[in-house]
Amino acid sequence: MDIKRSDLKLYARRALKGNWGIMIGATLISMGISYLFTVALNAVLFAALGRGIQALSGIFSSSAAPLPAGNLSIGTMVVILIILYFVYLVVMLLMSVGYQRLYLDAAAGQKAKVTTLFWAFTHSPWKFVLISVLIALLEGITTVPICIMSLAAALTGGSGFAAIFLLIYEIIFLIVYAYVLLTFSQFYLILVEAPEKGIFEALAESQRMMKGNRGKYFMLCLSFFGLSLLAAFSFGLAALWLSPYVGCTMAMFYLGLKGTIPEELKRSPAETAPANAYTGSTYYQQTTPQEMYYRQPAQTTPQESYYQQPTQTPPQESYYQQPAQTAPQGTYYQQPVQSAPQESYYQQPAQSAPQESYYQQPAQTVPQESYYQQPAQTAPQESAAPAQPQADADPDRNTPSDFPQA
Amino acid sequence: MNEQAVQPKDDNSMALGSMVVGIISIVTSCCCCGGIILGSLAVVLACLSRVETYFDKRAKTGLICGIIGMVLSVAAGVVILVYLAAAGASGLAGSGFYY
Repeated sequence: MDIKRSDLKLYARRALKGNWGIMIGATLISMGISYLFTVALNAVLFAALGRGIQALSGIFSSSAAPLPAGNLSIGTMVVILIILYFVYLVVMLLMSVGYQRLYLDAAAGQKAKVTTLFWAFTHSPWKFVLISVLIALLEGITTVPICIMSLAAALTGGSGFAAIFLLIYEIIFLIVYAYVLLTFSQFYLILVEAPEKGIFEALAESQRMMKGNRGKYFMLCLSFFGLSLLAAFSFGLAALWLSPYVGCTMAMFYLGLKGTIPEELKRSPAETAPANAYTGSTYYQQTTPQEMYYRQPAQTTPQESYYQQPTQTPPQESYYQQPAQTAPQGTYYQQPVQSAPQESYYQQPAQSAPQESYYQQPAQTVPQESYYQQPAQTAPQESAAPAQPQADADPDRNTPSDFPQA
Repeated sequence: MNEQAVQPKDDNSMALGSMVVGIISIVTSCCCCGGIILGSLAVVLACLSRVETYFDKRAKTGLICGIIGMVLSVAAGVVILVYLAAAGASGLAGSGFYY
């Protein structure tokens, strides 16, 4: 993958623009559900503890009040507690998978929905539960040598060998763990994108995708350290924004590995925005659409970006130099008698104001005409090009000095 | 047509939020950690609001104000600590407590 880290982050921010409310809302919903479960768990736990203390006091003191009949026994409460805790873990796990799906949707350029948070509840939920149980078991197994050595050291009293063993084991474990984690880092996203895939198939695909990209992924993860530090300074408040940003960047990395990053995210929003919608600094820097058109051709209207797509060249150049790739305009100029396509083009409501004013205003036709008159531009379309209308001069037009010099 | 065309739609609300939070962070920098909390939030929001290759003006304002608010907050904390230490030392000295 040859996409720079900064570009991935830029694409993620563009993907999240307009989706921040959904992301933060999903986080708040998740926190609310987690809070409700915590309250319920605490209620059952303290009820069981109270019942236990009451029972103990009944054993050791004859004056203690007898247990009220009809209430739940301690064993029942413990069973309820375990079941509730298991349900809590499963719900949180499936919601975390829903988060991955949410980030993936946003990174793919789709409109995020809060309901996606519960996507995993209806798409192979037990597969994700099984995966998490297996991962937890594997992580548990890796701690067995540590437990055995610690126990042996405690029993024998010789801690020197055990300390060296634990140190070496921890270092080796960390290296192997990081390698495995990086190798299979795309595993969840693969399954989230295609839940019908098998576990081993997803593992193999992740391994193939990450071959040669582990370092990039590692550096991408490290690059969020500064923002995470700032989020910690804000007492976690900034994490509401940072968490979707990190998740969406990781999803963008996954799409980058697959080569399916949406093209609209690679372009500036000013390029893809409607002609009469300006954002951010663009509005302050450019006062009129005409000035925007002439001074910054890169920040184009949809019509212009359409013409830019084949060769990524400036609109006027691609238009005149490559008539075969500019079908509507080329057709128009090659057939000057048929003025209908041009009219129908102007009449399109979505491509409205600036384009119309541009073509209809006489001052705007100056660069077009001067362009045609140049002998070096000898495209056959130029000789056949009809004269642009010269009526209705607009006093708001740009001065000729604003026009591109041919 | 230009009357219809020039309808500025400024939807970079995160940059605006960054600027607002950054200014508030400067104002609250003398309060308890207000500058650090809001200043760091302003910096994060400013960083996340950049969807172009350049910073929005308001995001830049929020970034600078957030940094200033954090610095002022840290400075205010140091001054308060030094003042409390000095006051404590003078109080102990005034009470005749030396060892």
